[in-house]
Amino acid sequence: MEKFELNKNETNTNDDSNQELTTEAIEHMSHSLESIKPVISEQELRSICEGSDGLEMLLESFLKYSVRYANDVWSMEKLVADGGLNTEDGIAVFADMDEARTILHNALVDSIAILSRNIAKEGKDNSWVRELTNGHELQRVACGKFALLTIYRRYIDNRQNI
Amino acid sequence: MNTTQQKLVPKQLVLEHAKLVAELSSEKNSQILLSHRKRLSEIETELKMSSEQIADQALSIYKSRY
Repeated sequence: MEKFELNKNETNTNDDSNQELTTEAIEHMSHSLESIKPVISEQELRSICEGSDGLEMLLESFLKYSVRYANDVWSMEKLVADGGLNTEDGIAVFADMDEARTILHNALVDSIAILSRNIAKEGKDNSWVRELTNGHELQRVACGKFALLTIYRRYIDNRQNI
Repeated sequence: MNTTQQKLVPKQLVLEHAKLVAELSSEKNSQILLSHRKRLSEIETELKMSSEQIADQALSIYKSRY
């Protein structure tokens, strides 16, 4: 099986020929629990939006885009990891997927901006959104990571009920 | 490099786990849900890692590319 090496000081995987990532020993990964923590949880967002049809609709929109974005990102990365870029057809498929992902990423960022703005309009706390900005505007990577963390957190929080 | 403190993580399994988690989030079909959960558990067992640890690996991949 193809493996990869995760090096804390050298994390650039844009070079897909680098299939080995080294990670520190499992016992040294206690930071993981803390790292799988979005800037605000889905439950906290639901609590903020509860009682407002408009906010609840905007929250569902953000969650819908998060699910779709996660599906797109991991599908693309899986394609790369499985050697999908070794053929011209694979490269073309990847390019199409990446174009769709970029459009979806834009929609995701917009959904966060609209949700945050409307939460503020209703006089509720939207301070969490600052962590997704550079002080002025939303950052694309931060928003993408927020979406992925939200979906992972949903799985981790719900698995006890599985 | 001290190899006794490192673990090789199969990238395909990390990404398969990530993809299953994403699919599970919106899946309604109970048979598919069951199948996905079973496979997720198998991957966690095979990697000897928790979901959080696998998620951490997947997010490292994301952060390095985007």
